[in-house]
Amino acid sequence: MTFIWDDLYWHVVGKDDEYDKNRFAVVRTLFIQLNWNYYYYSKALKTFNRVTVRKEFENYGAIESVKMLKNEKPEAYVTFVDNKSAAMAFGLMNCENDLKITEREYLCFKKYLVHIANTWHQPVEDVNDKSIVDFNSAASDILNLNDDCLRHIFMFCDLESLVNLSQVCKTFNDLLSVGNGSITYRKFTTLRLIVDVIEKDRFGKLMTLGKARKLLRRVGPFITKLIIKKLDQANVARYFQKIVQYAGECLHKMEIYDICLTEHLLAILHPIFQQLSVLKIRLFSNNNEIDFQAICPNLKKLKISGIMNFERSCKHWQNLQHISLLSDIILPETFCRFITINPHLQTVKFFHQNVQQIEAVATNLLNVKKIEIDCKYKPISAVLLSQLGQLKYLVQLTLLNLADDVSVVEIFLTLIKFNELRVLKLHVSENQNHATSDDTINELRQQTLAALSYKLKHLEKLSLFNIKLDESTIFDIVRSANQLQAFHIHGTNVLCSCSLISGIVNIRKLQQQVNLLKLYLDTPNESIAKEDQNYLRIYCDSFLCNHTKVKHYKK
Amino acid sequence: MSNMIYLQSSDGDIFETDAQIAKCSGTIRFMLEDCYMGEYEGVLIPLPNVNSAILRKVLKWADHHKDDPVPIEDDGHSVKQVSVFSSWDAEFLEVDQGTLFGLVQAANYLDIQGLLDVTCKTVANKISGKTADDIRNTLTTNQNKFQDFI
Repeated sequence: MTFIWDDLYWHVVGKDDEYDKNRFAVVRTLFIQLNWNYYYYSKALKTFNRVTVRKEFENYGAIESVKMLKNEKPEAYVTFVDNKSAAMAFGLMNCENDLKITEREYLCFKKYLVHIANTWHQPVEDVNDKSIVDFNSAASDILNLNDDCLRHIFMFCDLESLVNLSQVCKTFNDLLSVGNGSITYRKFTTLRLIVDVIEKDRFGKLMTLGKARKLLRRVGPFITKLIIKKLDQANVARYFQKIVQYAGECLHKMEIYDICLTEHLLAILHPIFQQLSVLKIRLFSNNNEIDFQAICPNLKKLKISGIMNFERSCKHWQNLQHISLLSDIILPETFCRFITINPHLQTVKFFHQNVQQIEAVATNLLNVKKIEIDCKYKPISAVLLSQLGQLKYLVQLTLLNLADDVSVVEIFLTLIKFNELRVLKLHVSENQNHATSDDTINELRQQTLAALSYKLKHLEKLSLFNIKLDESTIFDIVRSANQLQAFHIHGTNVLCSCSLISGIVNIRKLQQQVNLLKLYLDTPNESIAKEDQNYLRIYCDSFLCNHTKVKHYKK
Repeated sequence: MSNMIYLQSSDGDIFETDAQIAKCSGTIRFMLEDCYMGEYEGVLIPLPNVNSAILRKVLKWADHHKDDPVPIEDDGHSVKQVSVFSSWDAEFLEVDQGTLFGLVQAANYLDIQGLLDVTCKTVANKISGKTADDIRNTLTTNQNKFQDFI
């Protein structure tokens, strides 16, 4: 229903009923006067103020505002949030005299006289109404916003929109020039140059050379990371020339995927390669071998994958600290030789292919902090793994594609000796996941996992992929791992249930944990009470953590 | 204990609101805590840059978001948490452009970070995927202003 009035008559019309909007106004404001015939008039006069009026009229519905008149009389405008409340207040305050008293006596009972305020006092109804635009023409134009607001809007725009915006007018162009727009552009630290005729980019448009040039010209000085993928092979040299022309000194990370790197292309990129500290390359067809050590001597981190040779780069490399050699054709001998020459490495990632690899890591890399072993080609044995236990600086260990049988239990037991670990990621290969569902093995596994979390005192992050977990085991792990801050459980049957949440929260509360525990799950979110969010938060968006990576390994 | 304060819009309307709700605005919070030393019951704050239609919308937004959890500051995820677009917000911001820009301006003046984020994001969404010409045609009512186009 709608409560309307045209200064003479009031009506209540149905919700969808048509009425003349130019003639009637929707009533939300009532004009009230203190009744001078009221028994306690003088007393009421003293307490007649905004707060008391509001209190009394709030009985009829939520109040938006109370406006006292400036003429010293006890009169006020009361605006309700809803016209129904106004109708109710008006109706109830003006109801017929059904008590057995005279009209005069009845008047003495009424504290207020309530009238509908004149139509011009009624608030403008319906915020979607066009009238606001005229009313508010000062701000109706984007150009009337100040620079602060415009910059804030630009912050949410993607790069392509910014390039378009800079062509709209001079004001925008000034704001978005390389000099002025540094705050806006600073967030674009990563630039993706991906040309893929089949997939296209996420706007469904191709990254043409002209577009790449426009983008690079704007953000070149600010990007720190450049991702290049599947460039148009005919024009790739020209793309690279633009990159060298516009990229600034900040650029020190580069990822190159699926581009055939010839000697000529490497020569073009030479100035950039010199300043890089992180390089990731994945190539599936490269005829010539690349000597990474010669072309980018300042690298701290090198990741290669796909089908790439490493023979020529296998020499002493002073600055390199992190290496990931997940290429399918690197020989274990090459790997061992590289490890022996470079004992200062801090991170090493490799495919497990033979026994010597682990031995080489265990004997040479005494300072190693992170190890990732992919057992795609050959399962790792517990005895072999225990050799890594002597590395006293090892804080992060990742085991991928573990076989899903009894040996996993042994591996878990071996891991108990690694008591300095802070980050542990375990990934069981999915292929055989459903083949063995032996209860005893499962039971053993749950127990060893609980024991593992009890022994690893410093554990801060634990990720379990494709490992079946009972709810009680999760509770055990949370209880015994005091330092745990992030707990990832993926690819398993664990559901985000209320009992799970309340159980974990209770454990954290009992232990009086100050740190927040972040739980990452696959299943949709179950909400957590606000006061419990200091103890536990649940994330389900897979992009918040990098498991997607692990999923890619399978393919 | 009621903690009501009064906000006066540029066109003279007075809105009554809970101090707790009004405090989502950095400007008002600063005024209440520093100028009135915490004793702000019944204080009237004039807001000469905000008209009543916009102020009503702002208060509606603030009232709906008064129970929002306080974002935790950690490893950059907080930005993502704050600017999550609820369906209520999307519906709330289905307004004409004049009101939307008015809200941006008001949120900026009143220093309401959450409202500023959602409104600016809505504007940015309107811009995304448009060419320079489209932007010129849709985002402004006054074409003459673009005379200085280079």
